Amino acid sequence: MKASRIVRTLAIWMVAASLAGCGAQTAQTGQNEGAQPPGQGQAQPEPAKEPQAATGGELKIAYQAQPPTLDPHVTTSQASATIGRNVFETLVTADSKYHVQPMLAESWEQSEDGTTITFRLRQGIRFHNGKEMTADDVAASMNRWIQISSAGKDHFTGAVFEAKDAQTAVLTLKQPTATAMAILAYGGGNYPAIMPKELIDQADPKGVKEYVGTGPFQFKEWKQDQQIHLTKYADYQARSEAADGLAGKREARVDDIYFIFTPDSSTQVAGLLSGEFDIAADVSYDSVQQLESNPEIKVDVAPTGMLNLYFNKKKGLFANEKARQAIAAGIDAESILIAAYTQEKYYELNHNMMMYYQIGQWSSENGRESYNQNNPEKAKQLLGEAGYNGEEIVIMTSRDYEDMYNGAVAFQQQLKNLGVKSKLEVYDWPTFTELRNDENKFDILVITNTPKPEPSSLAFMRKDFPGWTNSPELDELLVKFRGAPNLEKAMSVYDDIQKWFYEYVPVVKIGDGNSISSSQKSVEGMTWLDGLILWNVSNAK
Amino acid sequence: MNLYLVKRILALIPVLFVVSVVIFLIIHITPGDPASVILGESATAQDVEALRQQLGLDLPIYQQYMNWITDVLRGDLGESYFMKESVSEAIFSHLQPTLSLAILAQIIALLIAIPLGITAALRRGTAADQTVMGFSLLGMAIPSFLLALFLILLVGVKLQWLPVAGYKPLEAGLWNHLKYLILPAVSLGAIQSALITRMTRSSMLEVLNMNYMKAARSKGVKERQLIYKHALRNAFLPILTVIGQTFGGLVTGAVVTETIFNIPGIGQLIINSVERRDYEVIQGVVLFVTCVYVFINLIVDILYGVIDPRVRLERK
Amino acid sequence: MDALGSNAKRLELSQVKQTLKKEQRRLQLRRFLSNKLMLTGSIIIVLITAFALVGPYLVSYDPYEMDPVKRLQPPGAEHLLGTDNFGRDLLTRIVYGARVSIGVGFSVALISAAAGMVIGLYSGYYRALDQVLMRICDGLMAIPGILLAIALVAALGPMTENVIIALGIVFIPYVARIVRSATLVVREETYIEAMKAQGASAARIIWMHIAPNTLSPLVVQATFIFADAIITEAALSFLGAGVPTPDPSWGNILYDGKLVIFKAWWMTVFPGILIILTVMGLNFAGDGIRDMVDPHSSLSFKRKKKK
Repeated sequence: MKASRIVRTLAIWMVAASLAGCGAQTAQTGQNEGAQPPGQGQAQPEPAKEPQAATGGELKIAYQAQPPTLDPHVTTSQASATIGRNVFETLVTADSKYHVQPMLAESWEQSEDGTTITFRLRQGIRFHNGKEMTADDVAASMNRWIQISSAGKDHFTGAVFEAKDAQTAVLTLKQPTATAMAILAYGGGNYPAIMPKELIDQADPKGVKEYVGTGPFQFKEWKQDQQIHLTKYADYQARSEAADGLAGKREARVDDIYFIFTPDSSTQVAGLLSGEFDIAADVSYDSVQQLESNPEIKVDVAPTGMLNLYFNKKKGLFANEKARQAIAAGIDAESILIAAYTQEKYYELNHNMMMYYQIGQWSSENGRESYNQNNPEKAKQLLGEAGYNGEEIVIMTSRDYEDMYNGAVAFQQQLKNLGVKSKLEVYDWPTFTELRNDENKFDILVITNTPKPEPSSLAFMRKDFPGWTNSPELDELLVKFRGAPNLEKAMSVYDDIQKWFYEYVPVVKIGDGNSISSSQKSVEGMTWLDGLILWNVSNAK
Repeated sequence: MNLYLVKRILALIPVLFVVSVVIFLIIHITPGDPASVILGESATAQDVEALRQQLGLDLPIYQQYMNWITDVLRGDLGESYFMKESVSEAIFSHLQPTLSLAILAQIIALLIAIPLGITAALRRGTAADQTVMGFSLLGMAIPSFLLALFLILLVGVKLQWLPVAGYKPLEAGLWNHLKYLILPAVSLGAIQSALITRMTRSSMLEVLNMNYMKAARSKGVKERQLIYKHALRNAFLPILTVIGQTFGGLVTGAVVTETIFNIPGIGQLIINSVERRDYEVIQGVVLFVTCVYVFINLIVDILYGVIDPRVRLERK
Repeated sequence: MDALGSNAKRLELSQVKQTLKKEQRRLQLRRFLSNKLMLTGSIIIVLITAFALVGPYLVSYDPYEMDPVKRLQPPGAEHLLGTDNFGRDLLTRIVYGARVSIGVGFSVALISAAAGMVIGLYSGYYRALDQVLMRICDGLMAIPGILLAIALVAALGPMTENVIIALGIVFIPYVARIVRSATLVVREETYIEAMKAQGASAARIIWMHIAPNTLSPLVVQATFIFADAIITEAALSFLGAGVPTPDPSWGNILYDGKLVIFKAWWMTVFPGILIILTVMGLNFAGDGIRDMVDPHSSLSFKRKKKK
């Protein structure tokens, strides 16, 4: 009798506990969805009706990584940018050739001395919560971005945004900065999103509490570890220019976008084949054959990053320039790239420190002959001059990115051929990012860097980034480069920086890699610039 | 009896204390922390340090532990660093897939094990018995993640009958729900069934040799009735223990299986949280899983007493 | 006279002892041979150990030598078991992997048996120590083994030595428990009481008189831990948290195999079969030893089954 009572009590207790759990559970939902802003749509002229592509439906996107937050001021995560920039917009943006184009700003004007930039804002832009965007929101957002984002801190030290009137925001710089507009237009990780002032004020170090932007899609729901759901923002005010890269007209052609977190590439492939996903954002190189043989599926290749070998220039063998030049001379870039990207289609040999698709803007002949030399004899000689006597070199990388890891394995194999003893240490990403800050822990890091809008943003230009570039020549070049009155003038300095890159060898550039996304044939209009672009994409089934 | 229960529950306190200290220490001496994950791929050491301070991760470790454990004792498992939800919300939202998986796996295990075990016992020494026992030996040697891989190769890749990974909640329809769970549940359940089969067989054998069974048979009780009504019921106790043990094992064994099949359950929550260094979630979930495990064993013990009053609960 | 007599007696006794011992050995051998489980298990273990020890001299490739052009070739004349995603010979990787996987399993069994024995003996003997040590063991056992191992390897750093230490820590409590309960039984024996009364040191009692009595359950448990450690190492490496690459281990090969499972079945099937065979061999041997040392115990012996 007693026993059964205890069982019953326990059962009740457990039910109660689970009910309490129920009550505590709250889904994270977008605020004020569907709240109709008053008077909306009257002030703006109707955009000219063009032959419309199909609209409606949904996009289910298998995405490889869940971002820490959608707040791009806080995180440099690329996942955060690809998902979040459907919701948030920036003052200016980049077209497919990386030229700066207006987005939320109508126009801008740089002062003679280059230290102030005045932005005229577009009128009648409303946030997803119905509030009209003013210069106050812009100033609050941009000042927070300057203060807390890595990009802001690096390039805009001491700069400040002020609201001159409701439609005018003024950026005052400490010194003329040729690269300012290019960085403000960048749409990858850490992009300068504009959010309502109130949310900026309430934000904590981990990010804003709600995701409210001005973009063609609004944030609906985030089921942790499962999916992020965006819906079409009905009152979106599109620009009238033709779409080009991130610039021009943005239109939500589907009603719903689901980013479904699917870290495993074979799951992405299987889901795409079974029709469960419309887009698989990152499929493995080995599954391409299987996908291409299916008539319902198409495969797209997009640039993903630069594979670099980072030297520890503070301590150990590679503090010596000669040793760094030796590695540069000895490696066979092509076979490392094959190991990392499997086929010629998916990588580019490129001696420029920037990526191959940026060659139109950033290109230099300097260094062409020093790239991919594949000259083991020269390497051994240089190593001898650098005083290498058989000590073990530690290579460090992370397995969380398959191309880094596979490239590192191939690189280690080549070191053996150069007579260099080495050890490959592989960590998960958080451990890697901590250990790489310790100059006693490694000699060479294998990292893929995401593309950057201009050379001075590249990680190895920074003194504080692992590898610890410390070169007075570079400092001089960067002052000249950033201090140029405009980007065109700065271009001429790029030639010299590229020359420095191959003399000082802060990193050895292996090459540029592509990633593969794949989609159903019904998905039309998908393009890429620093991540997939999902507006102007239709999915008529 | 009540005293026994109180004693058992009191004995849990040091266990949970040890678990909390061990897991807290291990997690905090592991390199990498939530700050670096939140800041993303190209943040510098300075940025990370600044955020660490803001999040209170620069405090001495004993102080962090005290802060955490006082909250836990108040019933607050804390907030995720990474996700915009509390740890208890995170646990709850990841519980359904794991529970579905564990229950389905258990059903599969029983459906395989009980008939096989009974058959083997009734035909002791025959080829049937030996086949069953052979399979059970094989089953005990296969790790479930390996069976999962083989099933993916056979059913998912070769035959393409079932999806190889993913998850749909019950709201998406029963078949949709089950479709994704069958392969993982079979890979977990088939392995568990090996142990249950052996247990069923041996405890059936024991009962069948009892004098009262012989007496019943000589009285002319029908064979079918004899087996299902008398033998099985009495053989059930040891079977129940194994089920209890394996169910606890199912919940925890789901860690690898959920990773392979991309099921957003408790196991994947832990693995993801380790990758993100989401301290509070890791600590909370491990504590939770431990509690579940310990409580299941406790409940099995109690049920034991309920089903069979002869069993002294004080037994070791 | 007296001394002579006792000498003769002693001689006689030692002769009897020797014949008895011989008899015992013959009996044991017969029991061993008639114990089919034990026999099959031992044969499997011997074969696989030979595979791991001799195999590397028979294969003609280097386990690290890559040939990107020949990635993922199916089994054939040139590469008997095919190649992996770096174009390395799979048979060679598996042979060298056997050394790593079996080596890790054996080291773990050894470490946890040694440490578990010490802990078990002392906590069985000293009541005060018992309270503390067993609570810690309870705590460690309550955390799912694979999780504890993942966390420990993450904390210690990804090195094969650390994988062994981590798995050792995971399995120590299981040994300690069993040794402790055997100790508890022996400790109550009258002769132990008598020795205590005569003033024998604790160390002497523990190591000379109690320890030998705990050996047989210890060996049985260590055999099962050997098998479990191989499985857990494979699971850890499969999750990317085990033996660091590019060293081959069966779990590592499975990890790479999972990435290309749609394209290269051989990378999953061959290492998988080897894991199963090895574990089966060890399980058989464990069951066999148990039947031999303790004919009464059957399934009631509590077996731990992981995952």
